[in-house]
Amino acid sequence: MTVPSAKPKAMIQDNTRCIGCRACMVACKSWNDRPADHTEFFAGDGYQNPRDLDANNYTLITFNEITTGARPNWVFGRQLCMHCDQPACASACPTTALTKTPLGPVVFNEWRCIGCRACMQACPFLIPKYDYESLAPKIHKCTFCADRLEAGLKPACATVCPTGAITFGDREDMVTEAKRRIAAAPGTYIPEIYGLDEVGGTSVLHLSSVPFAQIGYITGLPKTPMPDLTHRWLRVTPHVFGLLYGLFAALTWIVHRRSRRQEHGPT
Amino acid sequence: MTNHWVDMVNADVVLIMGGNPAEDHPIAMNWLTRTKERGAYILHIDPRFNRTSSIADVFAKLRSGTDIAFVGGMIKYAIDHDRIQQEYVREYTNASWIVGDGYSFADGLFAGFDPAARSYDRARWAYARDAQGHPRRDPTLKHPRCVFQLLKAHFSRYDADTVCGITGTPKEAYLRVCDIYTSTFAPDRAGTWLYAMGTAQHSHGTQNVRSYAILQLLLGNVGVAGGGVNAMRGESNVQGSTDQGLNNDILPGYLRTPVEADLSLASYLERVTPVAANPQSLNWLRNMPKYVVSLLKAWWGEHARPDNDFAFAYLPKLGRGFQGQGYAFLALTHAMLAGEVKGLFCFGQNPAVGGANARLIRAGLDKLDWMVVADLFEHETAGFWKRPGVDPAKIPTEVFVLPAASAVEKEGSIVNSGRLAQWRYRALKPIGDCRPDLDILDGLAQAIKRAYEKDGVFPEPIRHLAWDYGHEPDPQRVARELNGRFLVDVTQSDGTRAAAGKQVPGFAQLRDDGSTMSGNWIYCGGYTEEGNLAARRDATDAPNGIGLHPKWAWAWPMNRRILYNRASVNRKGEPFNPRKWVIRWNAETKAWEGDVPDGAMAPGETNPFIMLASGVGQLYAPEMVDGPFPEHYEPVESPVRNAMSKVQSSPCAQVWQSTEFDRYGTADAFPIVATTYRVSEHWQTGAMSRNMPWLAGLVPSAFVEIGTALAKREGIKNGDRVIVSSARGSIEVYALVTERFQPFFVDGRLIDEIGLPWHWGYAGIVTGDIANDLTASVGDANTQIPESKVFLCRVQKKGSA
Amino acid sequence: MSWTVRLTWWDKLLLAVMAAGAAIAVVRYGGGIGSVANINNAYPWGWWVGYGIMTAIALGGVGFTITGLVEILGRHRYHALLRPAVLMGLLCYSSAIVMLMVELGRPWKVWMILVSWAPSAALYEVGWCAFLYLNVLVLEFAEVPLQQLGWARALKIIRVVYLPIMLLGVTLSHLHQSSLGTLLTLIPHKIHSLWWSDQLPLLFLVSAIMAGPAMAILEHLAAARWLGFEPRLDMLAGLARIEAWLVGLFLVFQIGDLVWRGAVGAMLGGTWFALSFWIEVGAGLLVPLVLLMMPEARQSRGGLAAACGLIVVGVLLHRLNVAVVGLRVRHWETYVPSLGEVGITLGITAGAVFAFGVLARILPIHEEMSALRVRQPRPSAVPSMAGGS
Repeated sequence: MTVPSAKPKAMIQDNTRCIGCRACMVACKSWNDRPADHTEFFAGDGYQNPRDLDANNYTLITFNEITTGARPNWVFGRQLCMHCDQPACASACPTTALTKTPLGPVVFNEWRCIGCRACMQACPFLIPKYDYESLAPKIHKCTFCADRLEAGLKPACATVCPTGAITFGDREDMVTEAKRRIAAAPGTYIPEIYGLDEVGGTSVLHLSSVPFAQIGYITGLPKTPMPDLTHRWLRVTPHVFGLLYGLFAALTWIVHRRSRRQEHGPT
Repeated sequence: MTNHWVDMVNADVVLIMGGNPAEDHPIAMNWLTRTKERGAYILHIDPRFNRTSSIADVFAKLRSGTDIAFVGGMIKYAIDHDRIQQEYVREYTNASWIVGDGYSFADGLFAGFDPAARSYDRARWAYARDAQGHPRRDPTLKHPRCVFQLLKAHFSRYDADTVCGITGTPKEAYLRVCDIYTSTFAPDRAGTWLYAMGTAQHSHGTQNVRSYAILQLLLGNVGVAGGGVNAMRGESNVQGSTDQGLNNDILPGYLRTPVEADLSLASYLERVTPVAANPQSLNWLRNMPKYVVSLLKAWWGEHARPDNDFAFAYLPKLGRGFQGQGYAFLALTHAMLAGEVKGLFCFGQNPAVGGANARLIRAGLDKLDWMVVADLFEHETAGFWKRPGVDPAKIPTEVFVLPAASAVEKEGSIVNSGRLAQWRYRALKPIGDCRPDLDILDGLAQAIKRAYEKDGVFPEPIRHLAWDYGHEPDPQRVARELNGRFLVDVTQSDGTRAAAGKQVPGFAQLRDDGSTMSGNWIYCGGYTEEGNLAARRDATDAPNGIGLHPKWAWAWPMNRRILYNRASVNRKGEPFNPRKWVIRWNAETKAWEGDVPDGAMAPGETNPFIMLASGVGQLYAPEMVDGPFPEHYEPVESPVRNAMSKVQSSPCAQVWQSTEFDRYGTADAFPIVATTYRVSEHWQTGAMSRNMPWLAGLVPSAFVEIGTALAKREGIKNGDRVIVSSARGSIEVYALVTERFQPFFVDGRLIDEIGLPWHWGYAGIVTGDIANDLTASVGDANTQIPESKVFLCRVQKKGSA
Repeated sequence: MSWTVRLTWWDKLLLAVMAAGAAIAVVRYGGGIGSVANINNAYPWGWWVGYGIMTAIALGGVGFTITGLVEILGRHRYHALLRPAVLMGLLCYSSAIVMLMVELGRPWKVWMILVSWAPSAALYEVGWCAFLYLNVLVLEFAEVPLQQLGWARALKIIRVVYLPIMLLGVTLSHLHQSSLGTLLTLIPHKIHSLWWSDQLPLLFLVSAIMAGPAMAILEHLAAARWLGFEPRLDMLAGLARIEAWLVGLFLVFQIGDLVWRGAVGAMLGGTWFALSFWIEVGAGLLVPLVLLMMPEARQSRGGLAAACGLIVVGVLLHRLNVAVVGLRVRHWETYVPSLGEVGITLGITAGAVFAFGVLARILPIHEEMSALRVRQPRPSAVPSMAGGS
């Protein structure tokens, strides 16, 4: 058995190989001990359940019926935490309950969570979900099976996928492989790797046969990390503090010197 | 399968005929993904666009029940465009054989049909024989009565326009399929043909398979890497179950069950043992007597002796069955309904939901005196007496439910579609008092034996049964018995000695003199003195690198991975496709390399199809009950007239009409074609999967898939409750409205088709109406398999008139 | 002044609303947030955050704006508004803290913010800053009760630290008022272009500054009515002129920013978003601006009340639009505040108003109250909260 390297990991989600079987969803619920959903019918095109990620479903296969003319097509997409290289959720959390680890996963320490939901607002991919019915609610999201990675295993979903739609390995290898697949079969893939550059790069690289917007993915995201947007304001906090304090002190002194002069008059 | 799952990676074209491996064999999709990566085409032919279609290169829709028209057109296409692998067809099929004057075909019927008996006199289809009694041949294939010319004439009626007018396939897609698939006629290209219940569960199901076999033989695709006629079996170990002879008409190893008229072993063996058609045919099954006797020795041990016909009298014999219709499932259910069955052992099956005409079946269960169910959950059959709408007080059946261990809680082997027997060990102890089937059967057998020690009618077959698998029954002992051992010291065919008690190394060493025993001759060679070969897990591939993995577990027969592989080489032993060779003759070592060859004889010594009396692939098959060539007939319930002939549906199909449950509908009341199928998330009748909360959460309720046009006409929206009815009953389910199910342009008009997954019943944590309440008791002529895959129905929104 | 207060019908009404809010809060704690609130995974922040925290803090900016106006810029004309403003600030921030205890999933862990180091999180900055500022407000206001109690030693300490503390308070306010805006800058694609801006921090700061005088004016008018003194309309008119400039500034800033970002089309589109925008800008900025530019309105009780009331509502609408209404969600996702959510916030607000009313009757918050008994004092040379008796 080869010893797994300590380089950052990534996953390829190749939707051209996905048959929508949802072994990944069940394996994820099994590994993370999530309760079953109580559903009545379906919540999407075809057999999709549930409609969205939630506190009990850390990954979701979306069913998308895309008919071009007379030709039907059924394309499957997958939603899960992208484990961004510079996660907005981790930057927004006031108690550092979310952290990016060297191996790749953005892990959640529930002990630190105060349930403020700032990460939910911050995440560009709408990933963290909340258990509003709980008396001690916290956020829930894919863990990238960080505990399995530490033991040298692959994430549960990658382990059970029957068709190899989910490939897992060192990020640099996964990027190379994703590019190779597109180059080798250009008619099969659209020439885009979702997650490669989005918000500064993520650990999940999606490939698709149709534009991502058609299969429920969030598109139009900037290529720069989201935390940059708050960072440029927050990093000047100490400077602004000093500046303002000094300014106000100076103003106060000037203004009241003038009023004292007025009171006492010219000596 | 003639080939196996991993072999798919060698195909240049994969054609999936009405099957849905993405949903029903998802693990196997791995191989199809890899073959696609290598540039293979995937063609998917199915009534609707499903999860398999989503990864196919070409999707061609076809109306349920019209496979023979579709493939018949492909056969004509191949012949017209001369896409025939000439050497293969000439040498390895019966294309050149000349058929006798008794055979003819006209107006939809072959010669020799008896309308009253609904059967053929197959003697009319015999070959023309020469002086030695061997079939005459014309190697030029020009003789007007040779099989090839008769085949050509028969399928000349299946032009593309006629075919598309029957199947409803858009002509452009149809021709594309024909073109791509028949390109595999070239010796260096192979096409694999995958099918499943969508092929088999029809009144002409066996003829469906025949049509695939004919096309594959014409293209030279049988016996080669990436080829084959490959059934994707419906359950993970059904291959194992048929191997062990669990069907009424076969004994283990596909030996034939004796019939009442077989008064002695000799007369039985004479009847069933095939005779070689000519000297070039090895006719391996001439060895059948050795396997039968070895089987009898396995079952009755020292009580099976030469002087008592090896206890042949102890074997049950088949009579004419219920109402002369045999003993298969449809006959059994009708016999139950008629009150002729006192008790039923129902092991790992749920016929109340899974059997065709399920209302009839449940009514039949009411008539049993007792029933023993062994299963993991109390499913619909186990709880039939408390089903909705019945009063348990009125049902006298005594039901015993024996909790069974699941597949991971017991040791044993599972045989997949590729004949690969993989041994597995117990991962967990069974919970509570759940027991493996072996333990349950062992306990039953011991108790029955004890009872028969005291008295009983004709007790000897039970008393003398050789039954010892250990105090705690050990599946390895069963496996060893299946392989068989020598009962006395013998000298084997290669001259070496084998001591009594040693495992037999292969079925070539089995004998008909009582010196060997073997519980199943095709498993002989799987558990030898080397050990349990099915337990091997060495993934090394063979030198020919075509994914044989010969040391991974064990395949029958004799670990041969690709059957009929002698057809992959010419008469000199040279592979037709040197890049993907299966076997090849090494002239120096005078031995075959690669896969286990179909017989170790030197090249050219014998014809490759050694298991057939003819020795060659059968384009023309006079053994079939309903015709030597496939012919398109409409399903028994059909919305259109048969466009090919005046005979509407299969003239030999078994159509039950004796009970109130056996009603049939016509297109005026039931204008919509219906089919049944499965989804990935549920398994069979849902007895297990509808008790798994995660799976139940994914696909909770029974539903019907309806096309958007039909839905609009009926005012049905996605998620509405609808009533689906056939002549046999009606059910209420959710409507899933989709673009993926489009109507078929057939007989000049649009015919709608809808589909019902059949996983639901009234037991379990999620329940739903039973789809099989709508299917009919119609059986295939050869096998009596029910025609569950096509029937007529109507659909209405709930609450509408 | 005495320590006893006679409860009026208004007090009793407020107490009833507080009791209702408390009852709903019991359900919230006993049954989980989902049992009383409609916030969901698409809208994790709703009425509670939009009104109960963001707007409460914005309106609490009356504290630092009036303090800055009087103590830093030396406009002692408005000295009478100082104590009420500081008290309002204290009560607004306290409301926000109470709201936080209801809104957080795990409020018993809120101390985790204080022991963490998360400088990249705007909420961390807001949390610390607001926490420190709350302490500042307490210290700023402490002089009043201490004076009433006659605790001279404590009073002396307070007076000594007053100047640096006051400067700290105004500085901290600038930081966390703008950080409330920073919270939402990292989701540009999630907030409608009508409201997202990379200048959100400054926009929020200016809106908080704009809210200050409006709150002060409203309070003065209301207190005059309820406590029975004559409102000093000339003082209010002067403040109203300043307020007009602030409203104008914010309006130019907001619209100018929109134009700069190329979102003019969105302003004119026929969408629900555009409608919400125009209600916010029209009612919250345009109408008040027009009113405040008219001397007659500035000098009338009705005109002042209308204009300042609309400004306050406008601030609320702006915050709700940015944080909730403007959120881009999937087509099936909706959010409408539940009665439980509204009930709890009403209870908290009622509590703040009630506390203000009680404190205004037992402490010398309003100079006008003591002026009814003694003559008006001269403005002191040294800035302090000293005033009145």
